[in-house]
Amino acid sequence: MSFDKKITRRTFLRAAAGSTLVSGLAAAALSCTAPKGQKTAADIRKIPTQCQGCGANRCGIYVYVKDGRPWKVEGNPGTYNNAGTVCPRGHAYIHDLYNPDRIKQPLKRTAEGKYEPISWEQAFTEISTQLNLIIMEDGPQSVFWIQYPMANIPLAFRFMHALGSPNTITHGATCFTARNAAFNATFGGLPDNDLKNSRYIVLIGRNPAGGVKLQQIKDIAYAKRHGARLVVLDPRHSETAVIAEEWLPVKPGTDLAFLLAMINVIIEEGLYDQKFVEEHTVGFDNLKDEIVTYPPEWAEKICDIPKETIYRVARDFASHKPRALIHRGYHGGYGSGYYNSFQTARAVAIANAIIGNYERVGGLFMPQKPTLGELEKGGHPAPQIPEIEKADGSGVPGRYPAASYSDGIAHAVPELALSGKFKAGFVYHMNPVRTNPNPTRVIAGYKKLQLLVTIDCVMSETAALSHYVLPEHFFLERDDHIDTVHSGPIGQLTMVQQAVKPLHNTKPLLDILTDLSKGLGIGKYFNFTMDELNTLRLQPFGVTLDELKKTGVIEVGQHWQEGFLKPCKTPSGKVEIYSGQLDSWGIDPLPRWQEPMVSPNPSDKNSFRLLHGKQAIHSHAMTANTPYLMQLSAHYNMIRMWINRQRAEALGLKDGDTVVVESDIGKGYVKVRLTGGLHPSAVWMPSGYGIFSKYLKTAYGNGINYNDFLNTYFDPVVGHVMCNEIIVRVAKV
Amino acid sequence: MSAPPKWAMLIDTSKCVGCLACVSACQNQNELPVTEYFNRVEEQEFGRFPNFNRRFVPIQCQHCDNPPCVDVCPTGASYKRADGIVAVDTQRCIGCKYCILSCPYNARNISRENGYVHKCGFCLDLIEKHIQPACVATCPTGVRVFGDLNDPNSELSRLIAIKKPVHIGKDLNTKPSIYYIIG
Amino acid sequence: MEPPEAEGGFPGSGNTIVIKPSIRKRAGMIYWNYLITIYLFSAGVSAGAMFISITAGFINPVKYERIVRTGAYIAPFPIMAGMAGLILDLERPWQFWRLMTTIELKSVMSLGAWIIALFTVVSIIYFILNLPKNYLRLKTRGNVIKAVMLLGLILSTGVALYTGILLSTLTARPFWNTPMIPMLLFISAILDGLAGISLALYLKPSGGGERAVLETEEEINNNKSFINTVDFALLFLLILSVVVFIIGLGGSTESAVSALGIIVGGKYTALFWFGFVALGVAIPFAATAYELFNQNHRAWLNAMSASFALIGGYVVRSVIVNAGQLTQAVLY
Repeated sequence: MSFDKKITRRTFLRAAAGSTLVSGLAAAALSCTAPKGQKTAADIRKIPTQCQGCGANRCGIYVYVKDGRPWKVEGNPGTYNNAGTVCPRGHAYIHDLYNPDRIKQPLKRTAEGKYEPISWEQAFTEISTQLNLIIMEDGPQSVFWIQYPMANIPLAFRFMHALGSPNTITHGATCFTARNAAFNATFGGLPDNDLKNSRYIVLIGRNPAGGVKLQQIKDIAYAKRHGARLVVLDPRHSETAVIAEEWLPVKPGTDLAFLLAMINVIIEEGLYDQKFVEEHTVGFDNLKDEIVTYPPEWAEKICDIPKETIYRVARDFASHKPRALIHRGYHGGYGSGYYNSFQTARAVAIANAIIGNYERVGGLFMPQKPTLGELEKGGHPAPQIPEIEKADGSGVPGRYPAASYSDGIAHAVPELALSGKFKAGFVYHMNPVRTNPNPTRVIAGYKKLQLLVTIDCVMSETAALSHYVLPEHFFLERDDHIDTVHSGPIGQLTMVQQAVKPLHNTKPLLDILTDLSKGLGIGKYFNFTMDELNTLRLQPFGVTLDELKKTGVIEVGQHWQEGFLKPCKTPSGKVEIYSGQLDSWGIDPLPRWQEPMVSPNPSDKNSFRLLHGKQAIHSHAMTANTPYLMQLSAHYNMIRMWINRQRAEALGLKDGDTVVVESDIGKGYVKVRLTGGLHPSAVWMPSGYGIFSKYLKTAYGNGINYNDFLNTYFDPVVGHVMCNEIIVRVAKV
Repeated sequence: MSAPPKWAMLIDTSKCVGCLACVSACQNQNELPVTEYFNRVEEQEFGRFPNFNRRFVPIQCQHCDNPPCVDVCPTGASYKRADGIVAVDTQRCIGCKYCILSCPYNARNISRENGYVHKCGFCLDLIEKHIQPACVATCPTGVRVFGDLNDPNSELSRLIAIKKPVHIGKDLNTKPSIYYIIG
Repeated sequence: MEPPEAEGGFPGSGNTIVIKPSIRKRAGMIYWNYLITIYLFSAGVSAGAMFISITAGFINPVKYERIVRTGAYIAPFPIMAGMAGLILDLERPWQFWRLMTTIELKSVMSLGAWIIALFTVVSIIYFILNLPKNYLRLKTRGNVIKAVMLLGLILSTGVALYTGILLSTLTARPFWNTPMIPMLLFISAILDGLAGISLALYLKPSGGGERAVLETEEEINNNKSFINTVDFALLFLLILSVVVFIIGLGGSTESAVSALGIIVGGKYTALFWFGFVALGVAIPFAATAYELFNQNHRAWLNAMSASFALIGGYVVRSVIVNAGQLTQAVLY
């Protein structure tokens, strides 16, 4: 019997195809050969859908439903973000269908702060009545909507725009907006990495093995098999560093110095791609003039990486051009971490640009995003996009000009509520009370709102503050809006598809919005079903909804092709090394060295910078209440704060000791893990813990969260959260 | 198809990032409750800052050719199949736990629900259908390669010849069916 | 097609849901708890009592009548309690009968189950033979009686050795995987049997009931001397075994050295050195030596020494059972 991949896949496909005939809905007739003494053939159906175990990847999966209950998950081999594999969250999250902490019917907050069940009709009537009053008094712009940028976001936009409010907000400013803004300024968009074909990969603060992106680790592993070198620049020995050729433990917040020195070497030694720079970039000469001030000799004193290493990495990186890349990054490093994150991300973009890897195999490329069909085609009117500025100032010159208009600034909401600009808000599958800085202030802000409605599956901290909590179907119980998140080298359409009947008195988002809109006088914008909506969305591609539901993924449009085929969406149409637009906003038009905003006191042995990061088994704070995942945290002793071994020993600490962590605004207790894998100036905290909503019984009271220690900051350009600008005192208890 | 299959696996630790997807996938495939596992990932640290490294080592039943768990079983519930898989006849198991303690790899578990010992069975249901075991299929970096040792054309046989893998706990004379590249 | 109805709860545990994750270590869980310790300990006491009783009976059934009979009276009972412990420790106690329908020649536990079953039968026969009415006949030592005694001697040796061999054959557990474990547990078993007899004798010094022979001062002294002599010799051997056990582990593989750590600076250090070495070995050894060389029998000293020896016997098994499970072979 052979087990080669080809044969496996072919036989598998044959099995899947055959079974489709038998039981419809692409169900595999996996007549389970039961071990001795067990009952025979279970009814097994295989349903393609999209995972919701994290907000970001929405991996294409098959959910197996065995005798009516979700059994297991397999990766859809066709979807770009996961390419056939599934991460631990994907496997475990399906069991949250049965989580006893799910909200089972609409809830209303009573005067004593308790929650009483109410009917959907009562919820819709009361919410729309109150919302109408607020809009009459303060205008529609006093209403906001906050959520992760998930597939259903067009519905939320439609609802808010119909109301007349521009204030749709995502978690972006607490996550990645500094990076996005910098890449927008440079390339006019956010390019993707062709890791698979790259032969020299530099990751700066990015850890796809922890903040899981399956396609990225899979491609890195593939590239490594084909001789690629992987270099990880990270204050912590990340899980990706485990498989890297080289780990460069940079001093936190000084990645920019390393990058400037790298660019210095590449330019001074003439290692850049002269043709690309001349034809497709602007401002290279300005950079050349300035970069001389940043040699590796200068950088090594700042970033703690020896100059020899900087020289070597810069030369190796450039010598592999164009099949070399510095990963575009995500949250870690420069997504929203530091005062200098925007300029760090600019330096990453520029270092890539000057070796000419843009739109090249093994370099960076612009993903092929398909444009979905319009609802007007089906006779459904489109609401006007409100002309009014966003209340948080995102994209507004003079306020946060580089901030993303569509992401907004999440952690500005409490401020806007306290100042009376926001009166009512909707929170959809998000938990700003836990994921935004300084929960005390966030709570104060959200409590000030006259009306707060949370739409979620569980009683998060935010839900537990809301006036109304509307339970949505769990993702296995509903269909969602068609999603284009898997678009990379080719456009891909995927969707969340219902796998089981709903267990409780819950509704999908579209039904909630449809019913709400009737009482708000915007009913004409919500007069379709999810199937009608998705059918219209698919219209331009010539595929039917049934086809998509059967396969889980459909590829559309042209495959990406190598070469600078169309101009960048920058003012000049070229890659902007020097950005006139930034200059006009009064921002450094070229990356120049900036210190982080705060730094630990080097003469105080208790003073550390507090870093954080993800573990592969948790997504933000949303999976902490998943028993299978929390048990893994316990089993593998993962609810610990990392601390450099030498520094810890100076504090008299042993592995597993409890320490008190204290910043200006917060104090907490946590166990420590002593390690040689962390820069001495920092401590590192896994970011998925510290749930304090008593309704989440599995998660409650396990670990602490970095947000408890973080002041509310707004980067002056992008408005991002600067979540690594935390100095804490760590002491033995 | 000449010789009957002899299932085996190659685990390349140099590729493992410790994400635990294999652990989670295994729990689902075998319908295990929250606190029971058939496989695990161990972590080791080396060196001091800044000369530092880590290693993740996935461990599960090694399907030994000389399995101590089969030898010690007082009722004959644990047995070795012709295809190399070490299995448990759950009906004959009385739950004495002697086999659990005899296993150098700590690969056996008590089912708290049923009282018998259960363990990794190389996803027999799947491999009979030519589908990769759950831990193999879910792994993003391809740490595990599963296949038939008796098939000279299998990827597994090829890699075992080229990569010169080792057995873990070799001194214990258990003759495992899982090969390791410890890197 | 309609999606199916979602039914049930989390897998396993009869759909009860684990709300609070329990913190468990990744390796070294305790699977065998105090029930197994009780099982090993009581098997040791039974085997030891039988062994001493028969040995004394072979030497001189008249002179050592009290030892022979007390031993015989003790032997059947602890092992029954031990068997109860073993059965209760099974995850499926009602499936216990399966042990008695198979013989797995490679499984020490299977062989042990059979040896213990036979031992229990023989110990009951021996018990009956030693009842006061029968004892006079016993002294004449007919062939049948001799055969029972010989069988009893073999089986008690088997049981006393079995408890150690059960553990020592597991290569997976370096703390157990040394020949000194059966040695140590064998000696300890005989000592525990002796301590049981000794304690029974001194708790009930006048014998009582229907006595076959009259109790005299000389008789008491004879029996005490026998006990003290054997005690002294065995304790000395036990000390040697412990020393060899420790040196043996300490001078062996990485696995063994790290296993030794659990009683040298590790979790069971205090229990091992105070509960076993000091209480169960050193004090009885000093007391026995004092009595032996001064020929000064004090009832309370004997009782104390025997009690300590029994406590030590339980403690050492508890330490061995637990420590062994927490240690594992270094794999890579």
